[in-house]
Amino acid sequence: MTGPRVGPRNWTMTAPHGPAERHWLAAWAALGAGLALASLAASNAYRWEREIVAVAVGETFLAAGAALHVRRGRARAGGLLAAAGVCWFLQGSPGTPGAAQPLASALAALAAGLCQVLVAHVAVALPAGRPRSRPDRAVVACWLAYFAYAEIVLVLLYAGPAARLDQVAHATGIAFSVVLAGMALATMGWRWRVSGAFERRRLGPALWSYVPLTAVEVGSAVAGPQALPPLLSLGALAFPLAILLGLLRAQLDHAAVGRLVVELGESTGSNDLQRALSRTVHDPALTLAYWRPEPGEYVDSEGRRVRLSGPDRERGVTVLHSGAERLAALVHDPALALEPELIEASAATARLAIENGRLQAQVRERLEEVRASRARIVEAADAERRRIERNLHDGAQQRLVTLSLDLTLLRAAVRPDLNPALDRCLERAARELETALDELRELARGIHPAILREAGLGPALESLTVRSPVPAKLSSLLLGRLPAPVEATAYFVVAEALANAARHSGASAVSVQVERTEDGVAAEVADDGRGGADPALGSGLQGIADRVGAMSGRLEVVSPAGGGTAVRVFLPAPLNAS
Amino acid sequence: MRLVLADDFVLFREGLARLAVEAGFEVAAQAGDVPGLLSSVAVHLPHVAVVDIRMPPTHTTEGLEAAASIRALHPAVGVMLFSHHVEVHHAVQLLDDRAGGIGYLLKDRVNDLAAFADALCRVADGERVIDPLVVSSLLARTRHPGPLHDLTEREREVLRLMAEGRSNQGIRSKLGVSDRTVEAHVRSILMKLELPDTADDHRRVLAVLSYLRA
Repeated sequence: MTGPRVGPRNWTMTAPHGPAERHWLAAWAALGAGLALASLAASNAYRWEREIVAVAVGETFLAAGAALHVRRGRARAGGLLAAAGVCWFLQGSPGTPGAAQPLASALAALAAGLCQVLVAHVAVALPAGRPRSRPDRAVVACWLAYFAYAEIVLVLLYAGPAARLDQVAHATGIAFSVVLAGMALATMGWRWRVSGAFERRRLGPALWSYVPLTAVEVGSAVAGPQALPPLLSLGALAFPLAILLGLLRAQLDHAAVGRLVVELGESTGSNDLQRALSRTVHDPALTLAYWRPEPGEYVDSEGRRVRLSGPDRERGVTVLHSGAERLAALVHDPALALEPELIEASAATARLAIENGRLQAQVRERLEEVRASRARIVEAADAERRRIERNLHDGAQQRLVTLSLDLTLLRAAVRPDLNPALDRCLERAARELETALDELRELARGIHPAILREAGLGPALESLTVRSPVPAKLSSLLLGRLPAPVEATAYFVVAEALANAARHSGASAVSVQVERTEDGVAAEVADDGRGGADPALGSGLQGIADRVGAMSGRLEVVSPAGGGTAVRVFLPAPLNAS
Repeated sequence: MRLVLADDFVLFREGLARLAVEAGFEVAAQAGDVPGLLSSVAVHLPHVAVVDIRMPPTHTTEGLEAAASIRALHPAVGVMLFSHHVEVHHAVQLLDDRAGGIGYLLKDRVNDLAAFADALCRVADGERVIDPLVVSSLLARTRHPGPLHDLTEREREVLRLMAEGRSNQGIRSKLGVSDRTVEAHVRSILMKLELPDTADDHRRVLAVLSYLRA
């Protein structure tokens, strides 16, 4: 387990299925079987139903103790509970005639007393096996004192039979049992009151089942074991069974961490994460506090500041780290520290979810940066094209036209009949100038068509299709203007597709369709040529594809051999944003 | 005949003024931007305002908007728009139902003094003048078989002149044929293209251009 480690580790977990565990289990099973056989062998055939109940109760104590001991990393409570089971066997069958064998009878009474003390100790000190608070310790101490007292009485009884002492011992024994059982119940009731949801879930069954156990014990102390109906003795079963139930619940709760992983895989919000964690560890008050390096404080999912520790706070805290970096903290029921593996597994899952979310956000952020950067590059290139076109317009084109104008004036001043050679020369110059102006105009149009800026995509596409060498039919469903980068990109896609149709396709006709949709602009250029164009190899389309990508658009080239070529482009431009 | 010239490029504007004077026009005023143009037009009420399409401040279509203002404020003033490139879209935009001459020519046309003077006179006379490049690019489109293919060579010639904005009389003088011949050609063309026969030359230009554009 590689999670954050926090809090006091009351129970050290071992690997659940290690070899040591198997050895311990075998030892416990052998002890249980041996005791059961011995007990049945020494039994009284007439009271077999009592025997069966007694063996069942003893075995259950033993099993619960063994389970606690093995599953909870040699927990002291497990050993104590198992010892109580052994004592239960040793106290002998309720039917064994005690008077006949005073030593055996005394030992049985000793075992019975010890059993009561051990069970009370376990119940008061659950789950760790050590009483934690002063009242708890007081209860255990009283039980031990009572046990010592009973011991002395027994020794006295064994030394010399005294009927009066026997009666006194019996009466004080009853009084002690009742008072001590009451004390144990009271401390457990108090424990229940102050427990959080998680602790109640774990200890609840054991705490409540102590009530019938106490009833059986007090009953047998008052009336004598033989007086109780055998089935009533089954009440004693409740306590070890409850301990087993607590263990089973813990096991199920740990398994629920797996479900948490699945759940977090599907959820998105940070609130979901806190809710799922809270559900998994059964702590409704659990808070997930995110670490903000600046200004160095914890905040909840709504951004409110969270104080982790303070004089008035008695909450457990598990800090989640990613490497050396602090990510977040889980503020939870302190009782969860008793099952560190549960909180650690949950915390590790939360850590993964938070890291995952952070990485996703980072990737999204980077992607957005890259997208914006690509868009800026395209816009910069467009601006540069516009600038060059403008420079041509304001510079070379103006000057050549002015030159042409002066040439016209010059030709008007020259009389052709007087100087035919000069006139021919001027005429040739005028024709050259005309050609130069034509070429310059086409050059400027290729760099950035002025009509695109002046009137938008529709008129620009009309101008483009009118000039297309392959007869082109335009159907345009455009209303109003689009953002300039979108218009330019759509224009250059259509221009490139028309140029390809003219160069490679052998098409006799091409249709250009452009449409404004709710969320963008869609255009299609389809020819009736030979098809088979490889969109990957591009023929100029690769640069266009990059441009479309920079606008977060889609470009598609469909060109089956012999089936013509269709270039489709979609560029996002929400209506409300344009 | 009085002119007002508007172009932000001074060298060209002054050259244009000299050319206009050479062609026998009187240049009443010159302007470098739209406000100057509009005030000069209001003062001099010229026969024709010669306007560059691209002018300050944005250098896009200020001239087009100025032309619309002049035609709205002074219907008698003809407007000749000059540009470094001609577009079908702009041509059709210019051809509204208002009376008054309107022209749309490439600046390159200053290379022919006679044609330049003729175009200005036609605009002054209230005619429409559309640059031959606009019409020829539309006519050059190879089309699927259709009514245009049914026209005779002569009819295509007449159609081209109609699209350039010439009246029947203009076509006649250009082709050197009789009025009746021109009328016969025009009727035949309009019938073949299923266009309405209208005596209004203004509407005829628009109808023919729109037809060629479709």
